[in-house]
Amino acid sequence: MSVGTIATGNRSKRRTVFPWPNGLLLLLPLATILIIFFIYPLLSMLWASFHASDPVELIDWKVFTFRHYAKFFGDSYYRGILYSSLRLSLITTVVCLVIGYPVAYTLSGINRRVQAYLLLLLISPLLVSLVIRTYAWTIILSPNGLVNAFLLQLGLIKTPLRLLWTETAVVIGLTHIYLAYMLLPIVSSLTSIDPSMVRAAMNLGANEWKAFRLVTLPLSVPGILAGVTLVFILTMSAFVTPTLLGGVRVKTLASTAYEQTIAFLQWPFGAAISFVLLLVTGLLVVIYQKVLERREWEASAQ
Amino acid sequence: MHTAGPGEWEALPPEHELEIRNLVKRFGSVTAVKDVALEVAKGEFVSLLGPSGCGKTTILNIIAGFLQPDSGTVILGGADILHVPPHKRDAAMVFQNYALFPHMTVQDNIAFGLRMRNVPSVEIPRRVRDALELVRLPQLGSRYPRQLSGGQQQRVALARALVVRPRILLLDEPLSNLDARLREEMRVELKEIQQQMGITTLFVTHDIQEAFSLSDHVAVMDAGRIEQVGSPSVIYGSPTTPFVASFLGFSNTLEGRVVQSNGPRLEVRLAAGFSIVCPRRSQRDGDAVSVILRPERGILKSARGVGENWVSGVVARIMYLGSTIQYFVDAGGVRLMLLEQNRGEPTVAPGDTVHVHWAEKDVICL
Repeated sequence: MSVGTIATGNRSKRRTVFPWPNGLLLLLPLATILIIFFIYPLLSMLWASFHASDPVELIDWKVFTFRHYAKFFGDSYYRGILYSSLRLSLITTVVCLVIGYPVAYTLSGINRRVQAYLLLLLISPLLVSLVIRTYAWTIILSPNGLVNAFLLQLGLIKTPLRLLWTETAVVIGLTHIYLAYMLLPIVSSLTSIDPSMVRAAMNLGANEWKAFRLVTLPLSVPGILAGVTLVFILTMSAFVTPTLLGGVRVKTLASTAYEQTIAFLQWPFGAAISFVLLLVTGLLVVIYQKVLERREWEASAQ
Repeated sequence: MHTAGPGEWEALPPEHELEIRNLVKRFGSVTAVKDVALEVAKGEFVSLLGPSGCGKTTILNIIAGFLQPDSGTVILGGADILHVPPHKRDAAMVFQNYALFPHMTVQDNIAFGLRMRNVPSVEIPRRVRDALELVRLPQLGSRYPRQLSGGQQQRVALARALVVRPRILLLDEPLSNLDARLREEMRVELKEIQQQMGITTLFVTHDIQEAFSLSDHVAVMDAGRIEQVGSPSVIYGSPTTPFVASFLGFSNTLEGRVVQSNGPRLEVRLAAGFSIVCPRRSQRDGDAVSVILRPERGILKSARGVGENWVSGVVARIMYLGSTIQYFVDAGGVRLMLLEQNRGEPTVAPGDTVHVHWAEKDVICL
């Protein structure tokens, strides 16, 4: 399509600047590092997850087995961890979306310069280490922390509430840390909507709410999908925040894999849990792709 | 249509569908619309013609309700609409980029306005079909806008605006994104549809041909002001301001002083060194005037004829345009432009001395 391209996340195919062999050459340094330090360890972990554990050697390479996966999916304890991980991510994602969309909508409507500064402000927490931010939450939420002190002072409670080491604490921490990943794609998606779309809707008789619901919201779906996928995957695989804020009570796949590997020295089982996690997040990425592809109207003529 | 003075307000004929009075719109320190008055009669096709940034689109946006003016009134169908929210105004707009909803099929795009107006759902498919037939796209209802060509998108945008049967159709340069041939086709089609429906239309364009070929009346705008309003032939025949003349492409504007004002005639001594006789408007002896020599009315000869208004010069450049040939002639320190019909006759060459004649009526003195 050459004329009248409507600006809504234009997914036009881009040609690479360099012809194939040169391009490959430029990829070589990074590719080497990735293969040595990422792909190879990953594959060897996958291979390890199909072998028996050994108290001395840690991995018994002679015994090929599916027992770790059978154990994970057969034992309701581990299945429960999978569900609670999914639940935690789902709640965090929904909270991020509910908090993030109105903020993103407001940001998209203001002057671009101001928007850039405000966005910078919103993502500035990313400049502080995640560990430090999470520790800050433990101080705020602890039995004699800020929140409890405030509530006690007001006389609203008699004894400190148990806030820390709960699912709520983890959701609060994860939301704080990953909100920016929800905001950015939605802001970018909303800003790319041609302002004349809303004008056209209003011109045809839609009030502001209808124009939003029937035009702006559907056109921002790519941003919502991207944000939801990002936050879900990031929270699924988050380790530090659930561990520090959830304590031993809140178990996630990441913390269980860590526990099995480091505490119980069950390397192959830890590897198997890691791959269950990878599978779940990988599946989400695939679903995300499929949903985007199914949006028929994105396709152009020919 | 005419630009009325403030006193004529009460005397307006009732059939004026759109009336704009004393409209002013400022953006910061820039005044985009300066005291504009405009009337569009029922069923009339009126164009706002002007260069980009002249305020024509701002006026359209004010009528549609996307912008609020600083002062003035906009009356549509007898009612002041400035305090009516955009979605309740009976003015349908076709946007420059069409603004079709990409996530809706052509049918749903067209039905959108009907649904918003709570048209009974049994009636909607028929009206959508009629609208698609009107723009001659009956087969494409289930396509998405991205699957259509620019010309088809344009028609859908038109159908979407017309289907709600608005009191006035607002067109914001709807043809400017089409290639030249398609633009001419759509121009004819647009005029046919407009006449067939008898819909009052306000059209914004920077294209003179578009404005002239489509409109009953044209309002030429510059820097937020309406310079001249009239039928295309009146505007072309007698532009009243130097801006209108230059916008129409009458590039031979020369400065001079009236040496003799004699009844309906005026003799002007030009700074370029020659004299021109032209029809008198209201000038007197000694007045400084601008003399405009219409490029397409100058007659190029190799020998000087008798009578007045002969200018001798040397051909500086010839531009072969096809159906016309453009000549640049240096005469007395100024370069004159001439457009001659291409009749297949042997033409003069650069460097030749030529003589150009303008009939008295083909000269404009402002």
